[in-house]
Amino acid sequence: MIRISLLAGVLLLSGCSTALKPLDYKAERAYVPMSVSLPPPASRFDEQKQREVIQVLRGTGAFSFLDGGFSKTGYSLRLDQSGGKGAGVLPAVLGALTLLTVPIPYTYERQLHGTLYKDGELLKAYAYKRGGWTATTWYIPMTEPRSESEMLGELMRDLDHDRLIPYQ
Amino acid sequence: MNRCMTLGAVALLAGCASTNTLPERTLPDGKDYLKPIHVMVDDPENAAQIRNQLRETGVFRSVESGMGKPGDYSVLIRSNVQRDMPPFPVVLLSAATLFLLPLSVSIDTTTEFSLQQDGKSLKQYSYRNVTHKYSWLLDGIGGMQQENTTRIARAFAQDVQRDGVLPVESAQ
Repeated sequence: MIRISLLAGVLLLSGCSTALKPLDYKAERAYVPMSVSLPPPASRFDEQKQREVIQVLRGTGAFSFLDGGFSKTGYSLRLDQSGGKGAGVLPAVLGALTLLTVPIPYTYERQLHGTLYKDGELLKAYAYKRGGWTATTWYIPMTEPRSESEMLGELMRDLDHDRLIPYQ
Repeated sequence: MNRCMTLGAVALLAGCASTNTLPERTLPDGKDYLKPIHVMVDDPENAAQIRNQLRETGVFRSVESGMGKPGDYSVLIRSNVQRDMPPFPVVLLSAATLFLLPLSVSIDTTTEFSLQQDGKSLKQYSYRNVTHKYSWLLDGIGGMQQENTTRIARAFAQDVQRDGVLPVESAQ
């Protein structure tokens, strides 16, 4: 009984995690040293999210050396996750009033824009979009982080497929 | 009474000072700049800060980002940062006393610099600095990270200047 309760607890809590999942992409070879830039964080939440993005990108093994910022020499990747829409005011307020116990459905949309530069010149721009339904409860796993992971994985696969960045 | 207050004030103020294992390096004034370097840091979040700290040393003509063109000098930097906080119950206890109970915080950084030209390694440098501090209500841990890495950047700049691996850029 205790074991089942523990298992259920772990499953429920891990379902609530807002952290990005590891990408479903593993690189066979690493790119030459390059840099990645993200928009300036507007809050501590943004900082945390950007740390997670860097972490999952490194986890793919695609980057031998990942610098920060935009560089006029070498390869640079600009990532921008702005745009899209979240829960909105009404579902958020209702969710807060019901202490996230009553499922209030809402639609969301997440976007990812990736722009690749070589020596400061644009090589290619990538754009991805994911959307769907979810609900503001603590017992339904969040789908937004999964969408963000999927888009990052797709970007990494496209970069690998296009072979615009040389391998080490 | 006065002696007690003085002793208390000294203890509090002395407790606020942070300690570093890497000695502070003094960089001589009036020397010519060294050739420009292109710096790449394998840490996207702190890359800009490390480049700025190298600029602040005033040793290099310029510190650019990226790999640089053929013939340019580049520096590849890899850091390993370990932060040490007290056990969580102690942090809770400090929070319960409105942070009057000091917390022992330390940052242990090991940084490796690889000075290269056209992909050929000229020299490797490695530094370790452990910054330790007791943090409490009136003295937070802000600035500890910067202090920790500034010492490393200055040590690197001084060693490069002393070794003469990087040519001096003669005054125009």
